[in-house]
This record gives sequence, structure tokens and C-alpha cells, in this order.
Amino acid sequence: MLRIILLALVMALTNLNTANAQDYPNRPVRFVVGAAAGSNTDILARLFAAEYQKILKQPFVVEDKPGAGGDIGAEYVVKADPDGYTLLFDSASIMFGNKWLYPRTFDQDKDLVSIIDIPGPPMVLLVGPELKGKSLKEIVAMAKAAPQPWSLGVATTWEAIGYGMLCEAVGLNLQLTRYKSAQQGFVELAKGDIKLVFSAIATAKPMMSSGQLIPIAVTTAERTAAAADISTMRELGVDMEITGWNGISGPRGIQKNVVETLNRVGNEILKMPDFQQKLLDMSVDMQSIKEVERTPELMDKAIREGSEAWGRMIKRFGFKN
Amino acid sequence: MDVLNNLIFGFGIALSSSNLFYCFVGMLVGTACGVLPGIGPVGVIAMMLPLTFNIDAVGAIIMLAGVYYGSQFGSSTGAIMLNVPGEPSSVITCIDGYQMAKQGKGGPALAIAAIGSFVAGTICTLFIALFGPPLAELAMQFGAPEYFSLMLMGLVAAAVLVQGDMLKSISMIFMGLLFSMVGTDLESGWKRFTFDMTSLYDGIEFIVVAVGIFAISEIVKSIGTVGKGGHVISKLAYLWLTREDLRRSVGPILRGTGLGAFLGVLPGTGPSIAAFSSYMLEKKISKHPEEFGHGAIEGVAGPESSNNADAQCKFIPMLTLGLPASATMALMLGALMIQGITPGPQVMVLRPDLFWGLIASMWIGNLMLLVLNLPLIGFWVRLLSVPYRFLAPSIMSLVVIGIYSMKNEPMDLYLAVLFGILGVLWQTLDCNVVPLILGFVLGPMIEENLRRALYLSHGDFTVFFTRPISLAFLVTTVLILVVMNLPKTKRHREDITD
Repeated sequence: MLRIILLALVMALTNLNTANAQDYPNRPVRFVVGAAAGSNTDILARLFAAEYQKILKQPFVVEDKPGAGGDIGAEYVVKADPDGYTLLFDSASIMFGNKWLYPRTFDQDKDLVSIIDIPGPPMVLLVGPELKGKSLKEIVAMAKAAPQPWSLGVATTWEAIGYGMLCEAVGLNLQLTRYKSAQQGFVELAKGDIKLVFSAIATAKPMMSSGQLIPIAVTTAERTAAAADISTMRELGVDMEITGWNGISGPRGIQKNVVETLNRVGNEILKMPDFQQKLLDMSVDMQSIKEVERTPELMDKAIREGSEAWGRMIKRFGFKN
Repeated sequence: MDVLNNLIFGFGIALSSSNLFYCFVGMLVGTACGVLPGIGPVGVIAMMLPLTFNIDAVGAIIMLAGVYYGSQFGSSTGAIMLNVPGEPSSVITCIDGYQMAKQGKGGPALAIAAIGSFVAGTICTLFIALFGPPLAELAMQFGAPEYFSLMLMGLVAAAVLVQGDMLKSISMIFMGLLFSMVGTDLESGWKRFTFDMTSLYDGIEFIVVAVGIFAISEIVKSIGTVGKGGHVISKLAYLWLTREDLRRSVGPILRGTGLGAFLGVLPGTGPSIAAFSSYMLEKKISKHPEEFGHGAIEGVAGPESSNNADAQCKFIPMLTLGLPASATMALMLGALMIQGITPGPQVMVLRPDLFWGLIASMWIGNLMLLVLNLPLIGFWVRLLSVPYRFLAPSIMSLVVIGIYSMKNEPMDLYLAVLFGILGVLWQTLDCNVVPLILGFVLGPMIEENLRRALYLSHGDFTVFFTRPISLAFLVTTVLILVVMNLPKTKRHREDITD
């Protein structure tokens, strides 16, 4: 508590200084997260913030602004002063999906400036213990033979896209069931009320280790270092690929050297072996950013491609938020 | 005596100087966040997460757990003394707790809340140690149909147990249901009552409603009456519990603990439901139901024990199944994963120090809370002797800061004020707010589970009757309705109303 109060005090005092881009940062920096405290994205943002703070010697504070699939946080950053002290911690939902799902007061391509993209979590297809030992092919065959369509549980748009991709790839009609949190779906999966769930690996790991959830395949292009014993969809003959994605953006007008500083430090952090290990403990591997020097241009490209692909799919699958 | 050995082993770990320190820090921070409305354990634990990166896993989880149950403990203080519920779990405590404080019995109310929580904490510590893993299996028995029937039973019980005008009570339930409808529909993505405002897409937070109805409306009501004898707070009647108070509280504390422990194991029930159930149960079986709402000590003892039992038993599914029962638990699961530990049944085998150390620390933390809080009662009680013209603005600032810092969302403040005004209106019209609150909390859960159950059964309604647990709840629901409409009970109800 004291820490927070002190921090607030420091923030208030240093606000009086005029922003000087040369000695950026000279006061605390805020990461706005469009998700709730304690969510995967929030924890990821805090891991990054802690490292930025170590290197740039200024507090990096995470502020959660959940709601409207992350758009409330995004809109807040769009309207913020572009001095480099308010930054958005992006997610795939915000940058790839929301454009097609929510009415927006901003244009993400113009109003948000890319800084660096960072890896996101791999997705895994899970079944309950009753389907233990079955291969993906057998499961698909059983689902096709079932008199009523099977249910597949998801908690976010990202996983719903996975559902659409799977149905399309194997020519299957599944019923989409939405949950507020993936864990609700896990219980019903373990009970056999639903047959399939898509989720981030990190969320499912505890119940995977206790044998109540059986992982069938990951949706990444290659096997993930977070769970190397799980096959990919492609290996099992299903043509689909989707990975989590995150990034950091600033509001339009943010100074170039600020972007450069944040990008340089971000690359530095991503290359640290002990940080990569921390990410791995959260079941996030480096696959989605392909371990190359990440530039803002590469991030722009990722957003362009991601949102175009999601836009087409959201239309095709008929999703409404 | 495996359990005994394990507990002794756990105490050995929890009593190490560093772990005692972490436990103390966590509990202290938790108490502070409990007193502030809106600032809940989730936000505070998230903020403290980076601090735990550099300490060992046992110390980290002991500290974060301390924040969690400390906040449940601390939230009763504001509810009783200021009518400001710090957390959803103590909203119901406002009703009788604040009345007690107004009658000069704030001391006994605080004391019984602290003692009840401690007793519940002690029983649940033993409970987790003895029956943790088998109890976790219970959590796995509850799917959408079971939750629907359980919540329906709760709502029906609420409707019939509320005294006074039946029509008003039912109208208030529906009002609560209506407010709970605001936001994006989970299944279809339709926006309900959002008026195209993004800040309403995720609905209205429960704590905003509760703080508005209780804290703000109390202040609004006092405007113009302060100093003119309108807002009366009696002089301190007595500071400590009387024998009679204790006698009346034993039952509620034990029943509350039992209810809280049962509901705590179920991941699908929110933090406030245990407290509500206990309140309704006590009111139903009390020989003096008319005292409820006017400072009945049972209305503090039961819910406060129940919410603490619930909070502690929420650890059972997390530790033994790796299934987080709430957002706070999900966060703690995250904290463990950052430490390279995957929660689940193997934690007990691979990291017995963590499992038993945490359980022992919970009891130590509860003891610390009791020891720290009992002497503080004198201080809190004196707070009320501050003239209300100074106290009211301070409460208002506390409320505003708390609510705003929850999501940094101005809309939450407007809504709190709106509910404050509505709260005054309802009181003037003699409408009880308890049914409204129940409708607000239970409504979305009933809707979500009903729709999902029907989705999964492909529209077949028999799913509620063919599953034994669900059927049992439905039968109980019908029984409640029948019993309450028997001529004898009906007359009794009318007697109460008069």
C-alpha cells in the first residue's frame, strides 16, 4: 500500500516537469491493459513492466482497464497524451478482432503507433477423460457420427476463431458454447457435459497435469516448448494454425526516439534467457515472434495480416462479438 | 495421525521468521484493501505480484493468501461502522451491522464479526487439512444444470423469506434482475441496455450498486437532518459482547461456517452468496425474525463467519485440482506458475512444504487478525463520535476513491450516485433492498446456467430433473414454496408483518 501511495506521490510531483523526450523516461510509465487484473494478459504485462523498470530505472505501472473486449483500455490510450508515459499493452483480441466486432471511435491503424510485438500464448484443444486415448481423427469421426452436434467451449474471441477454423478444416458442425472463464468450461468438460474446449495452455496446465483434461493438439505452427509432448494440428492432419499475440503501442504523435528506446529495451528483454524462462513458466514460447529482432514495421505487418485474416473469418463464421 | 504430522510440519514452515513476516504483511495489506470499497484483493494481489518474483514460492503464496483473507476480514469493519461494504462478501453485513453501530452496539458487532471469522477460519483450516482432496470432487459434480437449480432455490427462498409486502419484495427482485441484465449478452453478443456506451458493455459492478445503496444513500438521507436530530447515532451502549450476545451467536457462527465451507468448494458461486445464504437461513430459523434489519447480532455473526469460511475453502479446488474458483484464485494460480509450480493434486506430493505451510499460515493469519482487530475495536467505535458533518464527507471521499480505483472508470461513480439516490427513494417507499441485491447477484448466474444447460441438452428441459443433485435442489425449492404457503406459516408471516 505504502509503495502505491509513494508511487502516486512521485507521479504527481514529476507531472509538473515538462516532458523531455531526450531523457525519456524521467517519470513513471503506465502500461494500460485491456483485461482484468489477474488475467493472462495482465500477468504478461506485469512481467514485462518489471523488466522495463529494471533497465530504464523508472517505475512501470500496469493499469487494468477491462471491458468491451479490451477496447475500453485501447480507447483510453488513444485519447492519452502522446508523451510516451501512457502505453497500450495489446492483445490479439484488441488488434485483430475488435475492429470487426465493436463500434469504435478510433482507427487502430492511424491512432495507435506500434512499438514492439511480443509473444502470446499457444492454444490447445482439450477433451475430457472419457475420450482419453482417442486420436484426433477418431474424435472427429465420433463427433460426425453423433446424433446431436457436440459442444465446444471457448472463453474469448481468440478461442472462438480457433473453433471456427477447426470446424472448417475438418468439415464438422460443432455447437459453440461460451464461458465467462475457461475454468467453467473445464469443469463441464471433465464431467462430460461438453466434449471439446479450446484454451490457452497456461490456463489448462494444472488440470492437464491432474489428468482431468486431456490435451489433443496445439494450434501453433510448430510444437510449443511449453508442452513439447503435444502434437500440432498440422502433424495430425488438420490444416489450421493460430497463435496468441501481444504487443505494445503508443498513441498517435508519440515521439520517434521514445518508440526507439522502448523497442530497443523490449528486444533486449526478449533476448534474456531468464526472461524467456519466466515466459515459459507462463506457458508462453517465443514461437509467435520467431526470435528475430522485432521492429515496429514487423509489428505493423503482424497487425495488418492478423486483422485481415480475422476479419475474413469473423464474417465467414458469422460472429457477433 | 498423518494429518497431525502434516499440520505440525506445516506449522514448522509457516512459523519461520520470513514466512511469519510475509503472512503479517499480506494480512495487513489485505485488511487495508478490505476497508476500502472497490479496491478488492484481485487488484491488490495483481499489484503485489511483481514483488513476489524474487521471493520463494511458499513465502509468495502465504503473503498473497494473507491479502485475500485479510480483505474478507477487513471488509466487515467499514460495513458495520460506516455502512460502507469493502467487498461484495460483506454487503449483507451492512444491514444489521450498521444498525447495531447506530444503536451504540458497534463494539459487539465488530467483536462478533472478528470472532466469527476466526472460528470459521479455524474450523476450515482443519477441514481443508482433513477433507481437502475428497471435497474437491464435489466441485466437479456441479455443472450448469446443478448451478441453475441451486441459484433458483436461493432466489425463491429469498422471495418467500423476506418479510413485509410480498408484491414489493417481488418487484424489488425483478428490479435487481433488470439492473443485472445491463451489458453484453454472453452467448449472442447482443448489447442490453447499454445506450451505446462502451463503459456499460460489461455490465454494472455489484460493489457499485451496494456502495450506492448503502453508503451513499445513508449520506444523502442525512443531508439536512444532521444536527437537527435527524441522524442519530446513540452513545456507546457497551463495548464488549454480553453473555446473551455470545449465546445468540454460537449457532449462526457454526451454521454460517458450514454453509460457507460447502459453497466455498463450488467454483461457480460468487463471494457474496455464502454470506447471503447464511443471512437468509438465520432469519428463517430465528425466533425473532422481526429483529433482522434492526440490529440483530445473528445477522452479523452468521454472514461474517460464512464469508470467511467461503474464502478459505475456495483454496480447496485451487490447491487440489488446479481449478481456480474465483478471479483471485486464478491470480494466485498465476503467481505459483511464475514460480514454476503447476497447482494440482501433485502439489501435495511434490511440494508438501507449500501445501501444508500455506494451510498452517492461514490459521496463523486468522489468529493475527483476531489479535490485531480486537484491540482496534475501541478505536473504530470512537470513530463514530466524530461529528457526522466531518464524517460524511470523509466517507464520501473514501467511497469515491475506492470505486474509481477499481476500474479507473468515471461511469462507475455516476452509477454509484444513481444507486445512492435510488436507495433513498426505495427506503422512503418502504421497499426492502435485500431482494433487489439477491436478484442482482443471482439473476445473471441463473440466466447463464439455464441457457447453457439447455444449450448442452439441445433444448431438453428434463436435464434439470434427471440429474440427481439438480433434482434435489428443485425438490427443496418446491418444499420451501409449499411450507411457506401452509396456513400456519402464512399466518406467522402476517404476524411478523404487523
